[in-house]
Amino acid sequence: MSEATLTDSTAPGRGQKWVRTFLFSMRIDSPLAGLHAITKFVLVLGVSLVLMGMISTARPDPVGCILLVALAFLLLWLSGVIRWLFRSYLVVIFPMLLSLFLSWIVFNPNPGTRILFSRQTYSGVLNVGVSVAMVLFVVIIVGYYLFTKQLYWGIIGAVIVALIISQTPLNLSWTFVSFPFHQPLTLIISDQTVYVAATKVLGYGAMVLMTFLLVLTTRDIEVVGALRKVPGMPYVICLFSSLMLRSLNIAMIDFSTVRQAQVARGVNVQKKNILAKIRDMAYLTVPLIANMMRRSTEISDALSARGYEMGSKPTVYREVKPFHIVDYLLIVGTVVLVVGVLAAGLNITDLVLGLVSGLRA
Amino acid sequence: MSLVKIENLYWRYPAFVGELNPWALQGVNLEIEKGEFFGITGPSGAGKTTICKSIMGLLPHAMRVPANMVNEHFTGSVQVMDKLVGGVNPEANVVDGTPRGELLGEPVRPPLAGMVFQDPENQFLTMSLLYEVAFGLQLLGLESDEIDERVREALYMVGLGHLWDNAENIHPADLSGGQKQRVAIASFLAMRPDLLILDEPTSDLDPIGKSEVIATVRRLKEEHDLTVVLVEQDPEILFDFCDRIALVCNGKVDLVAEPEEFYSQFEFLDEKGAYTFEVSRIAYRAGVCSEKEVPRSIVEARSILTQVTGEPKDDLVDPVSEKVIEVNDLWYRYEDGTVALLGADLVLRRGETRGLLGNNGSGKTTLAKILTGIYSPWKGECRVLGEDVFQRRVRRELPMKIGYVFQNPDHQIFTRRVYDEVAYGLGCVAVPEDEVEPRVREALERVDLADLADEDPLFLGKGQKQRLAVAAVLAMRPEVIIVDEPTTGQDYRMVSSIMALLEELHDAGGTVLIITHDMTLVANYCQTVTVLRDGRTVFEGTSRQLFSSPDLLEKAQLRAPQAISLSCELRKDRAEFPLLLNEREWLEALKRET
Repeated sequence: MSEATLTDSTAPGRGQKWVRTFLFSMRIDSPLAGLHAITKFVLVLGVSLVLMGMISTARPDPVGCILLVALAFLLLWLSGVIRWLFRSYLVVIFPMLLSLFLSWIVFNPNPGTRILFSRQTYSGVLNVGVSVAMVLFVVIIVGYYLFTKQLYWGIIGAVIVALIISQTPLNLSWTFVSFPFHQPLTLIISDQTVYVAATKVLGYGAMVLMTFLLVLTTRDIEVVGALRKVPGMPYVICLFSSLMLRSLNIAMIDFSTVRQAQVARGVNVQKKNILAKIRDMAYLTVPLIANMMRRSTEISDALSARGYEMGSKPTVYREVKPFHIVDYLLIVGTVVLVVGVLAAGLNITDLVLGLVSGLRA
Repeated sequence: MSLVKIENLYWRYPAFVGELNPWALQGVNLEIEKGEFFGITGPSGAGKTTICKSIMGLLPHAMRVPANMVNEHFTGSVQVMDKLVGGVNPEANVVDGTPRGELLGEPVRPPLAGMVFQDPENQFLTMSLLYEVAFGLQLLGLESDEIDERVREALYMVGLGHLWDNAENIHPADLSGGQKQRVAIASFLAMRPDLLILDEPTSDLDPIGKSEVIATVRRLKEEHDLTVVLVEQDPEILFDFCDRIALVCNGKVDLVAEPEEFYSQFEFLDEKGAYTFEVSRIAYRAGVCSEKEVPRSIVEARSILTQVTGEPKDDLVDPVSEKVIEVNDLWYRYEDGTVALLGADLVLRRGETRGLLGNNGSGKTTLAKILTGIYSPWKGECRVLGEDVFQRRVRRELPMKIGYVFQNPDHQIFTRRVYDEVAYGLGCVAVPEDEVEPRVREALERVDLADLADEDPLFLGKGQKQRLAVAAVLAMRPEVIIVDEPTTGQDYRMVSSIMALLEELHDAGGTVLIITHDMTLVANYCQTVTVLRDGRTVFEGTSRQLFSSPDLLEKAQLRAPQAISLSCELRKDRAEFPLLLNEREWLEALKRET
């Protein structure tokens, strides 16, 4: 056997630029790769607290939020995960933030200093009666169902027709009874509601990105190392959590194989309702549990073969990372920022505005 | 001096409920010398792994033997380096006037011995290469500098030295099966053991991974004073490496001998269901030599197997018969952007049994998963029975037309009763009620499991589970059956039985695609082959063409089996010598002569 077969070209190693993390992988030279897991955790927790202060309705701080969003993007970009994040999760993040923005505007009428749009949506009086639009609405849905035995497009069409008719003078209506209920509701979009809503969206956006940043740049081994650093923590807990993470990793691989085996047996050939799909999932438990049991005995044999027994106390090796100066600085910085924003009422927007008006004067 | 000494060892695994299990070991006697390379072979379930575990002391000590039933589970003794590892005092622990026995001895502590298991995935305990190798050293209580030094040394010893610089950042998923197995070896070498036990370390690996591991072990034997116990099926590996070989059958050691002597007991090995050399089988069954003279290598065989007549012919399907599968320049990309197929081609005609070959990562399984509708292709052309697989509707119905038997039967058993397992797929595709029962019964008959219809599949043996998986596919009456690695980790008899089943399907006009690393199987059962390498088809043709062309084999990174290598060797001197592909053709050619 020649040496050539022993060094494989496909192997990772020298020149490897990526390292696997909880979710996906990050660049090895990411600035976050050098930080201690505890620092990263404190950082994300601290930033979230700061953001809670920044998005308060009374004193919103959009500039602060923008700065933190920018920081999150910068770090995501430096870690090389931004493209992957956008490809995989933008579909979820964007509509989530948009609906947050809309619901804030709709449910928080605040006249502010300038009203951009205002419209009464409910007069405070309930009318019981009948109108042309209502009749058409019912007729269209029932008619569509009778002819096609389907509802979806019937409902959509009926809503459109009813909306159009109700805006025209054709919409004759007869009221039988009317009585007051609740107070009148008005949709008000003012400079203040937009300002607050935008700040909130930016703030929550920054929180989401920061959380992603944490799971995208932390390795499971770091968590185990951080656990070993906790004074009084029994080793068996560190080992257990480490094995847990590794088993999860294996179980994920098993799950996808088992699921594929099920597809190959034809579970997807027929169109199924949600209940039948849940039942299909239940079938997966048989092979999954059988595999897990087999693996667990093999893993415990492998542990014993290495010489592990209850009560073993292995020496500390490189998994326990030292705290560097930069870790201390970042933690102190985060604490200062949290205290500044939450206790001392620091508001970057006000600061910037103050600075700008000061410069003008 | 013997390093390991096993005397009259009886052992049975504790049962969770009900009756006692049968004895797994029935009077094992074995001595392994220091510095020896000792091979253990024998059929599956014979007790090979159990013997290894008893040397480590994993049994009886890690096994929860009921305290008042020790004598029913363990007798005899195991000693390693003159220290008692497993033993029993049968007179101790008297309850109600009867002695129940008491276990003695202590498990072998590292660094004395290490044991590498079969499945590379399960013994990778951490999420990083560095900590994986370091774990045992931390348990030994070594300091960081010493650990660094030893991990580095161990990685170099197994040929993974180039991974040292970045070892901390390497996740198990970044490594191939062969590399993972070498990491497992390294994690014991780092502890500097006297004894290393390897329990079928290559059975899950492709030929490249296999040669990686075996080359590593060979170098270790030469360079370090290590005693190695290797459990293995492949006679070539055992013959080349071992000082002595033991045959284990039904919980007993039936034969211990040096390789020459061991493999000359052809009839005995064959009867016990152990793997033998292909050339031995040919020579002995053709009756051209006595048992004592059976050849074991091509060099030995070329002077014995010379008198042949006739010219073998490929029994190919009609070249104009229907193309059941037609794949042309097919590409596939995983969600994470990895491109697994870069222009694969495959044509499968009705009635054909074709081999799909290539090393791990060459795209064989990916292609099979596209053909069964599990993955959707990226670009190119892919037709099954003339229908375009790029259409979602066609893909959804593929499982009814193409049956796929997964590599590991544990991944595809969804119910707790053999009958239900076969009926499961029929229920999924809404086969009419009154048709289900006859179809299930028929499929179970064909794989010879009809008697076990009410059993729990989880308690079947591995060979039976695999036949059940085939039955589940047969009941669907697919046009094509794809079988993924049907023979890995199985003994000679199980392989013969699954292959007889596939041959029966072929004779009944079935269309079969076999994904495999086992070249003997290809030569015996596949008339035609398609070879993938790095996601591209590098060869399509007959297996005779593939195995007789050194250039093709080199390009595909494959090795020819003994039978055809021998005919190629003989043709170097005698150009008219027929190109005999497999055992069957050899026997026929030799028979005509006599």
